[in-house]
Amino acid sequence: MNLPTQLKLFFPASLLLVALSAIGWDYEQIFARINILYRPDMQAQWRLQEWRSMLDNSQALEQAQKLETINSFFNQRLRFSDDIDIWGQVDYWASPAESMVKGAADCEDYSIAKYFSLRRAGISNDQLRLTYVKALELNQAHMVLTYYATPDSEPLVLDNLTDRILPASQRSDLLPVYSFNAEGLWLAGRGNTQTGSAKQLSRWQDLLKKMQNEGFDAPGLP
Amino acid sequence: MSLVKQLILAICLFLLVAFSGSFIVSLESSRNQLQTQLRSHAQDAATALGLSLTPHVRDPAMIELMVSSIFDSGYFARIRVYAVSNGEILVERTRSLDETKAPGWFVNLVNLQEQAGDAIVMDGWQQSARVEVVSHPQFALNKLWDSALGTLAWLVACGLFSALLGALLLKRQLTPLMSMADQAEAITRREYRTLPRIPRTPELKHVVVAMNQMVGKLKTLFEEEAARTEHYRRQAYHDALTDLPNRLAFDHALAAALTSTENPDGMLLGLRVSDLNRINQQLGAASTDALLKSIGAQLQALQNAHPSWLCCRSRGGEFLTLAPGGDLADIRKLAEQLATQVASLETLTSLGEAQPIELGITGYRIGDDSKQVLRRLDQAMTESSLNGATIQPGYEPANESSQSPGSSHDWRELLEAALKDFSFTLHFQPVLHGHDLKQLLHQKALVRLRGTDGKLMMAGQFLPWIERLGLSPAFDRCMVGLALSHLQRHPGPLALSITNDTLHNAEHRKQIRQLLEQHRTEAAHLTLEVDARYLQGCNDLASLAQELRPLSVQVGLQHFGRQLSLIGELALIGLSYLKIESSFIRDLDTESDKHLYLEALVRTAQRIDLLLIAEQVQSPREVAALKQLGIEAMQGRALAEPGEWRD
Repeated sequence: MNLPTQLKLFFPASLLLVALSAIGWDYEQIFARINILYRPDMQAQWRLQEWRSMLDNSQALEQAQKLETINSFFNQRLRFSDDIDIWGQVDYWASPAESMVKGAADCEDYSIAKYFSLRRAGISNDQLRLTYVKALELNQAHMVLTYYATPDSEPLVLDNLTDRILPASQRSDLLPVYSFNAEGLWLAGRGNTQTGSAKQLSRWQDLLKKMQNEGFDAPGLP
Repeated sequence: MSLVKQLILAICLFLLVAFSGSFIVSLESSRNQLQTQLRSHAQDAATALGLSLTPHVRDPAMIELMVSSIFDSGYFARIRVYAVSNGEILVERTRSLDETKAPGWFVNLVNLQEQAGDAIVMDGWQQSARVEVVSHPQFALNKLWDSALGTLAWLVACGLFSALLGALLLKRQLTPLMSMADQAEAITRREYRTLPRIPRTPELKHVVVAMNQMVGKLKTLFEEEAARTEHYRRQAYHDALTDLPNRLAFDHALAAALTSTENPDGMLLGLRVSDLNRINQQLGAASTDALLKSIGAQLQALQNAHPSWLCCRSRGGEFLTLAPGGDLADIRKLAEQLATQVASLETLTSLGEAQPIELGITGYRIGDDSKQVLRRLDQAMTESSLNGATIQPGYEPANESSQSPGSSHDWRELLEAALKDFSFTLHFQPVLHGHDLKQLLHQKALVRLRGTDGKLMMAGQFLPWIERLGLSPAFDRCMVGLALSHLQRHPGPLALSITNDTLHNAEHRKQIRQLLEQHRTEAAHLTLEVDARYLQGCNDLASLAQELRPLSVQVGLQHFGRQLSLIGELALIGLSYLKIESSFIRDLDTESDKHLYLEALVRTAQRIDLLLIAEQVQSPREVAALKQLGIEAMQGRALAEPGEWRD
């Protein structure tokens, strides 16, 4: 047997993994895992249930309504706070579930929660970018989620500082620095999730691993 | 294919499979890891480049410059920058994939895919361009190639080492099996060996023990058979009192000597205690017996010193010695010594009177009548006289004068010249076998030497001188040389006698072997015959047979008859045949005692699957009697006279 034929034997396994990821989230299982992992109080459980019903309802909405609903859901339900106050760490990337349990988030956590919820609601990865910006008035680093109707169009900015979704040109208070494609990062690091230890993971990898542990099937992929 | 080869092949095959498996697995795992690393590398470079290009996205020269900086300093197969709006390629840098030290087939085999990463170049809030970076797998391929070579070297080293070790161990383990195979093969050659080392492996151990037991039983069987035959022989031919041969044995030997074609003329020595009855009355039977025993012991010593002679107690106080090839001067000296020794025996001195001992010597020639010869000896004994206390033996010469050169000086000159010029002549006598005695077993080579008078001398006439002058080894080499050159001209089975001096000396045996080695084709037809009468144990005979076996030279024993006790050992050596001494053949038809003995010998030989050949068969009646006994291979005048070579 030559080597290439041997190698082919390894591929069906990884294809199967991708296929499984297309199946929707099993909320019963996810909540059971979350209960064990984070022991949410009554309020937190209520927030989680709200998140679930919001996601279920947003499935049928128009694109603009999805953005509106999800953006305002997280802006209203989550209280802004710094990582050091919530998690006792300077920079911590919380999973959406962690944020919902805590009821608090900082700018990255908002963006992450919105990104996964929008993906869940059926918006393509190509249209969403996580963008590092500088908040000029506050003079501090900030992160927002940007939505591109077409690849070269002007994006809409989903920001936790304001409930209104505005085109980028109207956000003169923010200076864009760089945006990245979340899925590209995930693909680039995919090998590591199988072989490497937690130390070698990027923040994004770390986050995805955490979500998998919470019971979300291969999040980040539609 | 031999067992060892099969097992070594199996080991090599197993190692090959095991190592190629491990090689593939290790290649596979490092392949995955390398692919992941390549992908991370591509993605990191893409992100860094995307971030760096963002402030300069409207400056194409700057974009090109930055792409080149990254590309030229890193390990990339391709870097492209696309415009997001229309997918147009803004900048592209590529490098060929061929720049690896691994050969093309290996690159194809490993099939390491290029790994790409991409990142966005922003223009303010907008996505302006996309960066695609493809890592060059060159380093990964080089690393894989090195590790493949390393694994291969390890495989080869391990394979060689295990094969070597395996072969060694197997050889060691299989040694008992090999020796068993040898043992079994030896048995088919009628050579019965036991294996001294019992292997520890249980399966082999059982077989070896069983084989050894079988060989042991066979040995015992032969020895019993030999003992029984020996018993017959002693009963018929031995004097119980002195343990010397009896008159019957002497008569046979004398008759054979007088009709021999190969033996020389010789002497007879007689010793008689006269008036035995008076001594018996005077001293009593016990003392008389003791006296006879003492004389017997003296003669036994004489016999031991001259194996080709025959000393016997013929009757009462009469002792006779047949000395073929004996020299008068020597015999006279021996007779005088014997007289002195006997005269000093206590029993005789106690008689005090004149010694009642008579000694006589006479010569005989081939063709003489045995009665006449014995009458002459009797007369010689009566003529013996006392000279003071010394007995002078009487002497009666043989009928004719000797034809051979007299002094030892003459002999030396004649023989050394003959050895130098190879001027011996070979005569041949066929040995026939089969029911009608028509098939040729082999030709027996008989050596002749032309004397100073121009007549051909028979071997018996000059052989004693060759022995006496210490020329035996040279003579044997000369004979083997003559036989080989004869075989060159006339290939066919040929038997040749060699002397016992050569047999019992390892150095001389080696010389003969070297001579035979130079002419392997001719040597394969040759059988060397050893004289059983002069045999001192069987060890040298066994060595000779073993040394000559690789050359396909066979070994036979001639003049066999009196050495029955050896037959158990002879059976183990792998001899081609035994030639029975003529004294047991002579007048076989009329002498029933010989019948009895030969019957026993035939039975034993059949048991050990050994061919018996009758020597010097002289009459059709003997032929018939031999056939009746089941001996169907013969040599002698009755079948064919010896003579020059005839095709």
